[in-house]
Amino acid sequence: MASTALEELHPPLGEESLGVVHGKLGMWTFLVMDAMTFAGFLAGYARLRWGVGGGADIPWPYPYDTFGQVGIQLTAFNTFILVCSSVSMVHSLAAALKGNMKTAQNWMLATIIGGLFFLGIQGFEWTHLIKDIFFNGDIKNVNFAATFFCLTGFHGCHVAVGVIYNLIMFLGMRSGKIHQGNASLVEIAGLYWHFVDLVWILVFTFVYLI
Amino acid sequence: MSTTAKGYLAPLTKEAETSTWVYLKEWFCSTDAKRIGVMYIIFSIIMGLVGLAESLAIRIELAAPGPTFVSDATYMTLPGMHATAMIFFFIIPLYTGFANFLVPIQIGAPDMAFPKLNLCAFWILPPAALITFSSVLFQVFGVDLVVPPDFGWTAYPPLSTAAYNSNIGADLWIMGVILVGTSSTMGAVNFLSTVFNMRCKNMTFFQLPLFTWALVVTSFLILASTPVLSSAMLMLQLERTMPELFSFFSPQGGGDPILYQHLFWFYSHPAVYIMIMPGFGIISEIIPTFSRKPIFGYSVMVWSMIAIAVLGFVVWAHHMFTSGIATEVRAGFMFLTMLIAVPTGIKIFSWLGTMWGGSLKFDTPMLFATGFLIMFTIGGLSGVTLASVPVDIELHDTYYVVAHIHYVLVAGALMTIFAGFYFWWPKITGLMYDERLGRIHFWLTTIFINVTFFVQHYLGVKGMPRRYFDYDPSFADLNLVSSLGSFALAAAQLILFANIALSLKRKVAATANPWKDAKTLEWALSSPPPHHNFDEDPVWEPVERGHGPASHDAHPQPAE
Amino acid sequence: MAHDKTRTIGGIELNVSYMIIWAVLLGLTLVEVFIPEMAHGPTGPRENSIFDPVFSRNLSIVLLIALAIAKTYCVAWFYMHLVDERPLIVLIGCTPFIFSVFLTVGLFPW
Repeated sequence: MASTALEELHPPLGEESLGVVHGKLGMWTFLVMDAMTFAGFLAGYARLRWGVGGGADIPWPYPYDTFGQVGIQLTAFNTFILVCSSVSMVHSLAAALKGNMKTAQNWMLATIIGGLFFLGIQGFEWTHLIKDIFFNGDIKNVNFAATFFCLTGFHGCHVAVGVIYNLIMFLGMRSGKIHQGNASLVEIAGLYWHFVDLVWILVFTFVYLI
Repeated sequence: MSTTAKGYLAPLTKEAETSTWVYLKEWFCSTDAKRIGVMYIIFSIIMGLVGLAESLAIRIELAAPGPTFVSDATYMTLPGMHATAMIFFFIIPLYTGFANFLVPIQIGAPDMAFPKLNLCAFWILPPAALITFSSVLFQVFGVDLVVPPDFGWTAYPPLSTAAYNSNIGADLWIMGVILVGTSSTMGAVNFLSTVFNMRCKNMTFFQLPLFTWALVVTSFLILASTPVLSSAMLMLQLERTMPELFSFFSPQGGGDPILYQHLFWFYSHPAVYIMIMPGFGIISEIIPTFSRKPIFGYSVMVWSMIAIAVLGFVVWAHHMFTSGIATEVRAGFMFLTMLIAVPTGIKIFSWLGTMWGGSLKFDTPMLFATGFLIMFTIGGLSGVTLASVPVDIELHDTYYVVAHIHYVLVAGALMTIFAGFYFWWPKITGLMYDERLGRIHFWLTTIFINVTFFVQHYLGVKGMPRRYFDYDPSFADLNLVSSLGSFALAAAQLILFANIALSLKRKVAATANPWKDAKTLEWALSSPPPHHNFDEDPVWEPVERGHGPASHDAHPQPAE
Repeated sequence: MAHDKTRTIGGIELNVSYMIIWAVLLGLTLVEVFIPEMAHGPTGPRENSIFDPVFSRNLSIVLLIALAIAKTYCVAWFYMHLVDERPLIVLIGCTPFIFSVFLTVGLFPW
């Protein structure tokens, strides 16, 4: 029942097609766009970090010195959480493909909790950085804080959107609207979630470690 | 006229037949790509008129040296707002409108892949236009609180930072541009999904009509370039809102203004291909139809479009030759830029090859297509001269650049829009237009485009800078010529509107294929096409795309 | 969409493969965090670093970027299922990577 209703939502595939649902193509092409938005921010960060213009005489602090060993390790732990939530997402999809909707639902719940955990740690970190580190006068280079908040903030927005997206998936599974027949919806949500994870891997490397 | 002959224009419900308001509401909430396409076209024509009004204000002011028409502060806002209207709200949405109407039909699909996303993408545009141009409304009514931004459409910092322009009009402009970008990426996602997934039987990639191919390439350009502009605009907005915390671009805070230029041109160079590629597609449909020959070198045409798109991403710094980047880098970008002339030249010669030996019919669309070929070549060649670093240093920010961009966008993109408009008008409305008025419109437009913009080459070489309120009296004569040309060009467009009005009044019904020799799927449908395009799933008859010895008697042998 | 229960990636059954990738990602993250600690301690580059003090920074940057690319590859290829996607979708997935490299290289302040 629900499957036919969902199929009516989208026009059918043509005779010549890529053989994937429209949503998957739509998500991949959307991710191209989203990745390029991050590319704009990351490339801007790179250029400011390379140090030209008015900021050339103000040295860029080593992230390791600013965040401290504990700060880096906390964020590494955060990365670990995001990777774990990616794993729970693929498990959710695998379960949904096999028709174990109850298992899929639990894995999705784990994914949501992982995302919320990530946001919580990031919120804690931001609070700490704003109150104690960035604006106490030790850091002369204003772009250090600016690019940091820009990149992690923009990524954080994506995580927040992803959590909401996954929550919708979770509710859909609970009410039975998402089932084995349209598990591709879970796969598409997964694409977005893994992309957020993928971007975090890059942001973590470039902002915290290099 | 009977309801069946009105196709997608026919009201869907009983109430809509009697009440205009219900009928309009039906259009506004329609997810039919054809109706959305028509709404795009109407919206962008309105915005085009806004842009036209601003360009006329510029030309009136520049008709004679010294202050004449507007104040200098007002004048500074005009070029930027003119460009914004024409680029973001006229050319790009107009092509999207044509594409919405045609792409699903050309690939044999009932609709777009995401009809609701399509409607949503359209409805982002009017609010975005209102946000962007509300400052112009305030300006017209003499409220000083909100003035349009005076930093041009490029919005280079530090001119656009809060230190030099703290007016809210600039913030509104930035928001509007981000919204337009969002809308066009939504459209691009939709087109790609549609073309990849909804082609009818036998419509393989290398059977696609060239207009559809052009849209595929354009959509990729939009997807990969527009978000970079959005991120630059977001950074600029952060910097404007919290100048003491964010200073990505302003040197006094440790930022780098050249960074903005890089990000901006990483979008805006591909954007000129976004604004011409669908035009290439339109021309590639029209020239074979009126030459009664298949397109010359189909696969080469496709690959050259892809080559232009890929090269278009690695040439952006040629807009920044005078910004102090290293000579080696400038030389590299100069080389890459000149390389683009190769695939573009291939396209020009393929169009000529299509016409060569064909039995030509010069109806209005073909006239515009031929005019485009000639004048776009001029615009392209002046682009090649600008790509050369030493020449560019001489001509940078002069009227030569203005002449070049207008030869590419007015004599290029706008001519293709006119060509496509006349070509598909019978299909969109089911009515024929007046051929004689069309021809008059073509000749006046072509002549006055050249009168308006050709002299600007000379002004530029002589050193008249762009965007300036006043100029040396020695430039007065040519500026007057250019201004008179622009007034006549604007007046000539009245003929187009008269033609539309006459066509709607006379109601001369168009046949399914009024051009006889048009081969793509939209001409197999009635004019106007019915609601879900095809009653039964169409099957495309594969076209021999090679260009060996003519095997069909219908096509005359090329004259050697 | 494959609905069969024996869906595999590179011959390994799905769930097992996912956990292997997870372990790889975890290991790479640990190595990544280890690199800057080795390269420079709390007060700039370390005296007793295992890297040569002069090259430590460049070497650590190269290593970190290589590791990050390896990790993103793992996520995109296995978790986003590019491994059993048709070439065109792989191409779409690669597009932003290619263009962002263009952008970043072009942005270098020469």
